[in-house]
Amino acid sequence: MTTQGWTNLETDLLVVGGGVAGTMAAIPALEAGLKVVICEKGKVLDHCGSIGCGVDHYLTVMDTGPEWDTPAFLIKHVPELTDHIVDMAVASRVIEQMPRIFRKIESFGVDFKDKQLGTYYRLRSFGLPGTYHINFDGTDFKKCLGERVRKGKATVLMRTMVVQLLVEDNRAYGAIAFNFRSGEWTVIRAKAVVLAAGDVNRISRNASGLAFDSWHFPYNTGDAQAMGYHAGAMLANMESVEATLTPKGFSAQGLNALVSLGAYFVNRHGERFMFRYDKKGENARRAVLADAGINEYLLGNGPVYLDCRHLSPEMLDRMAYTLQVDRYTLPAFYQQKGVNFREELVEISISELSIRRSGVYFRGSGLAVDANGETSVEALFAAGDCATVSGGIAGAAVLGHMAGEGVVQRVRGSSHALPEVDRRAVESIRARAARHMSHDATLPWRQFEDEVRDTVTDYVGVRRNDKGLRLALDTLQALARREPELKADDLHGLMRVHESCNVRMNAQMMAAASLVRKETRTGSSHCRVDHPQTDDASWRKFVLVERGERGPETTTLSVDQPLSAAFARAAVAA
Amino acid sequence: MDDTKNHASHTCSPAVAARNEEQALAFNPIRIDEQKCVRCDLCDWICPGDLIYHEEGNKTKLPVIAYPDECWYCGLCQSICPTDAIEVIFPEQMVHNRTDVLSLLGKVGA
Repeated sequence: MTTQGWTNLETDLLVVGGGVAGTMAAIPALEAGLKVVICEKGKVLDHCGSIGCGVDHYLTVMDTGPEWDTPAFLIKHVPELTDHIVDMAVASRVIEQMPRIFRKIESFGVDFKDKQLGTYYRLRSFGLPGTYHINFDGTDFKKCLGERVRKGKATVLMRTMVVQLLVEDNRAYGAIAFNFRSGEWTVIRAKAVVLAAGDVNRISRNASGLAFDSWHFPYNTGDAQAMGYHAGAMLANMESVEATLTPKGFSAQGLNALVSLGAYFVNRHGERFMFRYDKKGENARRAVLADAGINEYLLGNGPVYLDCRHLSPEMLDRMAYTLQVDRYTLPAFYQQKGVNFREELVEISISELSIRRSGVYFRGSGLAVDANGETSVEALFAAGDCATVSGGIAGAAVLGHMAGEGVVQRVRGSSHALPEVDRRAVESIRARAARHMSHDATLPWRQFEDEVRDTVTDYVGVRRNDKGLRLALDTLQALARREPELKADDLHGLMRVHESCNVRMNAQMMAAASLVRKETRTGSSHCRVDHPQTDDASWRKFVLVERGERGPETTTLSVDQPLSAAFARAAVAA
Repeated sequence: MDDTKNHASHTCSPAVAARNEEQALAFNPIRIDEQKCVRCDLCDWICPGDLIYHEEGNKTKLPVIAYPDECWYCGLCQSICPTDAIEVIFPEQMVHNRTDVLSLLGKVGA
């Protein structure tokens, strides 16, 4: 039905983002017979939302017999893996569900077995206390999930960006979206909404100076976190920032493959320095690897290099194959650069920053959720890299599935009718969009974003202090006031304008949370040069961020409690 | 089929088109071989950044890289191209990068 220039849709579940978390949330809802609408900025459901490609590793407990392979064993290690800032209630449930969800994904036709070995090829990496990472050819991993959603007859709106949630009395009832090819606006009323739009990128400068050359998808711009914030949802761990080590000039992923298959990192003196930072050396957590790289550069020991020269030809072959599953163009990059990583050192840079899970499994930065994946706003769920328990592909799959099951409970348990669409909200967001497309708007979004990136890089990045953070907050608030002036040349540009605003909003939340945490934790993930020590006596606490009258307001909560202890709403009845 | 939901053919605005000519040279993210390209729409369909535009069914016009500076260099267009007509070309600042990594590590001293 079209009224006043937009289309109205009604559904049980609206999923924002068609990546691993979003599709896995849709699946249990479809199985329970719910109507599902998925909005996705891309045009296919067949690739991962975080990297747009296949998958090369899947982290799971399999419960095959040995103690290390049980949920209980991994759960016991989670506090140390997260430097004690973790919601154990949710993380434990995610880990307990891992074997079941792994088997379920296998039943969709994903082959996790190594073709040569005929069994699972399980590797140890990133500081985990067991060989939890299955190294496999996951080129078709996401295709199998996408196929499942298509078979379930979900309605998928492609090239569609959700720009605002509809909320009344702390309860979500849908969202407003537009298609950036056709210009069509859609207002979707839903009994529940799952936000699964991924992490925050394009938030700081990188070596190439190209904003879209980012380690993870540059089209993931914290849309879920920003929309959730505006809707009144609580966020946590926003002070923690994530960096990785990448080939200099190309922010490509693949660190997991490199370290789990035995690569070394050396500094300009030829020293294998990782052991100075962690007894596990290159097998330390990503946060430690990135922190070590950053410190070597700060100490004047740069450049840092990747060293694979000691590896056997078989291992190098596996590495080369794995790297191109993760990033198809990496071999072409090495070729155009004229570097042979099998025989030569490859210069490594610190990547641009992102807000995701700060190089640590099970501690996500984003929307706070309970053990059903539900946020502090009723009927609003979150999963994947935009939620507070994040664990790569597996974390997204498991929490996504939990959120989908939570949705089924929430929808079945609620009988009251959905509110009528807030027409003024729709009209106001459309008027704002029209202004961005008009001649009155003059501020290029690229320039606006560059100002955000410079501010974050210089003052909210891997080294922070009180003065710099206050300066950054002033700049980011001043930029917020200029948002109405942002100019979109066309519908595609209108999408970018909304993304730019979301990137800025996330940067402001990060700066606000960083100012509060007066200690350093997890190395460069939150390094306060004015408070250089980890202060366990005062800071085993979450920093929570919520919308206040004049911007983000922060509070703290002891990690002895789940984040949901700070929620105003009641939990869903099981 | 979900992927056929939106058919609207769309071309980017003249202002954008003018800027692109210049940017295509600076960022040259992909090169399309005019002889090999069969004008099939697949690169437009798969590009995750909404950067490649090709009028559906038009068998004479080449696809256009409408927003070259927004390329992620993922190569999905290259991988899906049925005739291998696409090649990803990395720009100079990526291949031979001279950035001082310290400039990425903030202005806040110890």
